[in-house]
Amino acid sequence: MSWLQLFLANLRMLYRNWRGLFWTIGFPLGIYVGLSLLRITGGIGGLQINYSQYLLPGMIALTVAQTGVFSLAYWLVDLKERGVIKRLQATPLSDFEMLSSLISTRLLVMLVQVVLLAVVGAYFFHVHFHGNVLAVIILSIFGGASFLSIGFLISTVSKTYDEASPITTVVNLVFTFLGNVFFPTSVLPKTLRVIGDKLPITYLADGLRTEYLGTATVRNTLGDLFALLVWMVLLFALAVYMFRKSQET
Amino acid sequence: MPSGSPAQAIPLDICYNLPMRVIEVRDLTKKYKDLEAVRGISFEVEKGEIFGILGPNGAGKTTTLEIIECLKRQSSGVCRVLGIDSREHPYEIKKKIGVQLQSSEYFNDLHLDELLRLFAGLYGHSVETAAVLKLVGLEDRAKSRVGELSGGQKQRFTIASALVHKPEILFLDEPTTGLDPSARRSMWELIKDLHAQGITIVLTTHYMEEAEYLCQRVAIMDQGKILQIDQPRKLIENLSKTYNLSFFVPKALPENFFEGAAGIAKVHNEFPKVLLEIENVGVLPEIVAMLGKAGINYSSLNLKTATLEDVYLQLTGHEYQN
Repeated sequence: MSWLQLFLANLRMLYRNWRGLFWTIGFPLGIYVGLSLLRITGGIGGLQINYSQYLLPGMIALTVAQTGVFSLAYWLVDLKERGVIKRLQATPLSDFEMLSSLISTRLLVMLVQVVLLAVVGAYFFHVHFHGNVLAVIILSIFGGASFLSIGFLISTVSKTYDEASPITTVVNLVFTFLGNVFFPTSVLPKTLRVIGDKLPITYLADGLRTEYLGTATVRNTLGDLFALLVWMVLLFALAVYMFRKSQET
Repeated sequence: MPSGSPAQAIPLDICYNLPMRVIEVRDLTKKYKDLEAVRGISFEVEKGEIFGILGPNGAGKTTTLEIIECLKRQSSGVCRVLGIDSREHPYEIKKKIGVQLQSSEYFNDLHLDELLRLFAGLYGHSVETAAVLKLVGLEDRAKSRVGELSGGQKQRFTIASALVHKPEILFLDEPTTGLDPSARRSMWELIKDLHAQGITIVLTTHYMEEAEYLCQRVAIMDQGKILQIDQPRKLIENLSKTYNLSFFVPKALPENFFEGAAGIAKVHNEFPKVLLEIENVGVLPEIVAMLGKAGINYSSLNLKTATLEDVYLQLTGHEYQN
């Protein structure tokens, strides 16, 4: 009940803060539409597809990652810095209820972003889905939970906005350039490719892309799912551990 | 005891009509890595009183309060609120107390009435927001945001948000710090109003006059320890020297200047200020005459009764500094 109260209050705040919401949702959409309009064609990663087809699943993965990492970390750090979290802890709400309620609003934002991107891709650029919906849902859940854990982890280890800012920037930079979003990791220099191939966003983008293009194999999908599961468990456990530790004082 | 009638366990406070303890703190300590913030304190708070914890910044007031509020865990010792152990059932305690933190903020994009409804919801209550806002004098600001309030209004709102679930005890951590004198006055009146409605109030402050004006009992705290607990009036009365006479001199007085003068308990000869602790006002003419005879051109002669500040000075041996 109190979980729902906090969730609804947060939705109301998201709605009131429509400028922020506009950019959160509109920006990735804008990048996708802009790049797709360039009509880049020719083989990408050995596939005979146009760029908007290649980009859409990657863009979905990047959007989910950015909302999880950026938007959650900054928001939680701001709440922590201003003492809102502590004020909530003075009520009978448990930490789990509070955090899961706060995080759930971000999950909803992710959902809106993904649906909008998929609809725009299908309607304007004829990027149609040729895969297994269930696989996509599980991939997205594992990916989303991994990225939210990263965001939560950053908010836990940084006391202020100024501390959180460089960490999120680095994470974002690595995800954007090494994460199989705008171009395949096979074009990366060898050493960077070792990192790029193992990132959670790489698995999510790859999984979504093969599902989208209809080139997914059971082996490939299970591989992506398993890797994301490992990331999710590791990141979530680390985030919870660090949070517990930060609460001990 | 007459034979045949079994001994019955009747709670002591009913038997003897003792005041009911709502907070009980025993040998409480809180150690951080390199700091002992609270060093073994014990006290009780009775139902319906305003209990003050007075001390300078860093004395351990906030840490003590936050342990009682179940926001922090003690290193050792026992803390019971309304008979509930703070380590065993923190959430049960949180349901029954109202908390105002030292510098708490709220969500920016919600109106005051929405925030109150949210907080009531977190306690599983519903709330008449208009009535609560009226209580703290913010009835015309229901649709404002916290960021639009003045310092005093914001502080009053934090109290409103602590009252939504009709708590039995209200904790106020430095409720008037940073407020201008008129806002402080109105905060004092609000606290007295709430007290008149039967809420037990525990507050911390580093203002002596605030403790003297508001509190039935005051614990004086310094460096993690409680030095004394009593009614402010009694703390002051217990000082043997009841008056402070001070003046400024143009030239340092000799150390033995007041030697032999009757009725002076203690001399603080700190050029250019001289402070005499005197036991009764009757010796005043004699001192003035002494100064006149020696041709000393003193200025700003000031006589005042002892205050909590003097109690503090006597207990700690160092002057009170915020």
